[in-house]
Amino acid sequence: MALWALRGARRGIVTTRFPRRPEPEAAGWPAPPRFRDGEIRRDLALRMSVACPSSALEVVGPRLVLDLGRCTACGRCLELAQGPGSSRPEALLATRRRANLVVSYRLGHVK
Amino acid sequence: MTPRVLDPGALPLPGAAHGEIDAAAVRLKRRSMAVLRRSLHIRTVDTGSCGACESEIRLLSSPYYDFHRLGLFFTPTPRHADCLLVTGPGCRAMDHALLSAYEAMPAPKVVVAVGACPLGGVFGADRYTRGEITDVVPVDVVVPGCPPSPLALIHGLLLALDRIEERITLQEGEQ
Repeated sequence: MALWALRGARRGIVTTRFPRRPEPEAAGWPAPPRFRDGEIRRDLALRMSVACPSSALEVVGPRLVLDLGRCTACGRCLELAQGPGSSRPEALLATRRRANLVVSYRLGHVK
Repeated sequence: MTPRVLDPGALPLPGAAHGEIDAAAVRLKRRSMAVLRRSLHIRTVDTGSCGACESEIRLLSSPYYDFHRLGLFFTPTPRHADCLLVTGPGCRAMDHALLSAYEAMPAPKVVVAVGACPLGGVFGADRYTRGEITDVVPVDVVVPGCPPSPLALIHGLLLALDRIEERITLQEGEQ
């Protein structure tokens, strides 16, 4: 029998925290994108919406609409928009209202 | 659907995950005891998922999350379930099974849509899939992600408990 099991039985501990440290690999996991407002040109937005396999990106008038509920974090849009786009650093959490998962960004002008 | 700016109250996953999960777990246990005065029983229905969401749901009972310590249990029958976790894009062949499971649950009941599939991602509406499961059952809580993290699932269950409390209040008001 393992030593930790004997020690735990002697102290009356039946469970413990596991793992002891946060998981460092979590920082490298794929995450949905976020974009800088006003820095996505219309042609780039249209190319990203075509490349999105889950129809999470859509150009609606002067804005780029990102539906985080549909996003699968495949990263194809970030391959196209490496400058104004980046992975979202926070985890997505649950919500009661579906509209809370829809984010829109203002499109920039072509220079 | 009106585009909205995302609520910035999201929890960070890397780094601070352990403490955040513990805090969410304690809140969930308190809510479960206060709202239900008993354990929360969960029934899962797979409507054509790839299995990734089920893998994350299964992790809830792993030693890391160990949601049994919070009074949460999976149940094999909808007759004993308070919460219905739905995964998958809503294959039309599963309409009857999903609706039967929902109708067999005693009130108050809550439906949690898990993953991008039941929210319309991955598969659109066609002759085989619904795309969104809201056409079949009313969805109370949505958990985004492909697949969603167990932290998001715990948060969804926390919201589901709030929803159950609202339903109880409504029922008491009707009586």
